[in-house]
Amino acid sequence: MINLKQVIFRYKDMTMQFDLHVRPREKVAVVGASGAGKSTLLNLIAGFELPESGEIWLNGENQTYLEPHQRPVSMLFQENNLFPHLTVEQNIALGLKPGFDLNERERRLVQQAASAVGLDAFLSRKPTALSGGQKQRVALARCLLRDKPILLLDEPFSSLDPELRLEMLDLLDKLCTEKQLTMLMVTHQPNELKGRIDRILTVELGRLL
Amino acid sequence: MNAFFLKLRRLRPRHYAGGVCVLVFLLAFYGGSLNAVFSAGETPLRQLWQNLWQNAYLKRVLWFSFMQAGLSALLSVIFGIFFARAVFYQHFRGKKILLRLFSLTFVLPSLAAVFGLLGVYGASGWLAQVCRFFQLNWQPDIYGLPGILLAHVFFNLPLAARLFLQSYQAVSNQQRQLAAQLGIRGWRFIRLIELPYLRQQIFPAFVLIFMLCFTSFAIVLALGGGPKYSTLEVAIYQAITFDFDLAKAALYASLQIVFCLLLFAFGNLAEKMPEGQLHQRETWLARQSSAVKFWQVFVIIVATLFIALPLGNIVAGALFSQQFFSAWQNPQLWRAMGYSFAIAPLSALISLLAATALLQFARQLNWLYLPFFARIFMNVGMLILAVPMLVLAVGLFLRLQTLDFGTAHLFVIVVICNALTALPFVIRILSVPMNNNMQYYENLCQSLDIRGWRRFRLIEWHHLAAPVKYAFALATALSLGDFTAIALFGGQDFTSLPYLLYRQLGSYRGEEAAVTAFLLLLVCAGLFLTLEKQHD
Repeated sequence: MINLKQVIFRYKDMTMQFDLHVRPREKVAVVGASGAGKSTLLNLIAGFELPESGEIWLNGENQTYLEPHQRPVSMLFQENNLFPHLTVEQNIALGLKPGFDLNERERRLVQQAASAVGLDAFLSRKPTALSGGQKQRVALARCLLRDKPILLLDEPFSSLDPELRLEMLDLLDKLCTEKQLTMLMVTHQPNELKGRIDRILTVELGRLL
Repeated sequence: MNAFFLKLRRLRPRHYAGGVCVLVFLLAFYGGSLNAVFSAGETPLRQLWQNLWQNAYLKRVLWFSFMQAGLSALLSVIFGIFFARAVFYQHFRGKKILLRLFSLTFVLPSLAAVFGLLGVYGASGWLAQVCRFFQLNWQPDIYGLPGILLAHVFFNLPLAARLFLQSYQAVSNQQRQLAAQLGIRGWRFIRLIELPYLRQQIFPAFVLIFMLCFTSFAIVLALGGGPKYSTLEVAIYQAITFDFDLAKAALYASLQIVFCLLLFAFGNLAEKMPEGQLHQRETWLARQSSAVKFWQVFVIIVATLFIALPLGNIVAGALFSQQFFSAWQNPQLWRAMGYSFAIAPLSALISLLAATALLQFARQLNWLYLPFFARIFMNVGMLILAVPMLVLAVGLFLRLQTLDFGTAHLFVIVVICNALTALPFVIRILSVPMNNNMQYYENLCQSLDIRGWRRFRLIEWHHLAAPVKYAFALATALSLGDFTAIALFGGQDFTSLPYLLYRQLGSYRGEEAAVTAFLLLLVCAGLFLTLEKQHD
């Protein structure tokens, strides 16, 4: 569940105000012109930005000023989701804990997450040896492993070609249902999401319509 | 205001603790030292103007300071353009090695270069020997303006050439091909295509070199050869060491600060990074006339000889020195080596730590959309570019003269001074990778709770390792060749290799000096090679 109560955020000359209620397991698309405040909305929920006033409630708790890693949120960016000098396995493992001293059980969990996105054969590769779609799959696997109830996606597949994008959306759909995630996704192609989401939110000049 | 404090709330001690410590130390250091300088004369400001208009010596010093800096910058820029153009258009084997040889001058200790220049152009140098061989009745006299100009051009021609080479590389293939199609050749090509690119670089290069030469110390001291050819920077030093007139030194130092701050502000106006693609696959060049080609080959050969001969002289001077073996029995050489090899890496390390702490704070401020404050902190780190080290050292000298000093204290002071001198360079090298690490990974690290030492080791070090090693080698080389702080604080018990070399040059012990200069060249060249490796 996501609840934003009169959240105010100022960036340069622009004042944004968000009021939002998303029910548990709801899947929402966020659309709007670039610079309208879509990413800011996600950053506020994830805790990368702090609001000037207002409250952010996640899963029934007021988490307005909590650190990003303390919130029940995973976020998938458009790019730079992976550390290029670490292997796929290490990148995924960072979802479990901030270090690489894994025990047998944790190693298995990493493998499970990798095979859930169809990448179990690529564990020892570096991200530079992966395609754009594969990179996002790795990042998705890490989100799965973190096992947070809220998933935020900031144009995660917009750099992929349409066919691959649909494939990724199918995968995402499956994972959301399996894990019962609440999902918020910024997108420029809301048409492709038809049948996969519950509603569409429009952001305009820092406000939700 | 509310938003501002909200941002500050997000700062954690790990972000600012180190940076604030460095900042406080720097401000205290500068404040204490400059305060001592300004309060040493009875009424410095009034005196300053009286002296300026009445003191013939000071007037001559000022005139010479500006004149030699202007001439040095002008010559460096002109020859730099010639050489850059020739190197850009000519393809020959060993071009890369030649450019590396030129770059070596960036880390070459100035006194080692002075030794090499003396060996080539001095009264009994190679040039004089050639003249005698051809029975020419001409005796080169390097001391004074010619020597200062020679040395300044020796150091700054490569710098200018590198800047202008970037300008030539910035002209795109399409523009060259278009010009060829339209029949724009020769002078018209230079005027219409090349000059607009060069012009962006000429003024900044001139200001930069002017400033370097204006505050140049060791070269003028060693080659000036008397009060007639003294610059303000050297006059400060001479007022302390020869006249022991501290008030006079303080007066000169305050004048120097005023000029340097003006120049620094001026330089900031002029500073402009060259734009354009530096990494084109292959540059397309139109065919050249044979006359141009002949001229350019000539320029390359002359410039190469100009840079390579003094370096060769240092090597030859040591290898053919009659004291090549006996010089090593000199305990002073070993003492100087011991101090130099302790001071240099230590000050490089301190410089690195200070730069990292400052950058860590500054990038956090940038991240919180407070770029103004970030820039202020960075500028404090760069202050040494505006306030010459000699002036700071004079301030320290004035402040600490009443205390009873041991070698350990002097050692610490010189280490700190050298660290400060290297700080701007280290900051420049590290600022891009540090900020990139922030831009790419801050959100990711925050959401995965990777922080502190773990973040440094797992995430940041991968991108920082090469630039950190590069910065360390550069700072070590700079500190190794530095002859500013040690000139004031050095002595019989506390020396360094440049200090020893200066003494040997001053007392005409050329055979011993050859070994010292060779040693400096060898170590700095070694550091330079590791530098280049990190850079590739």
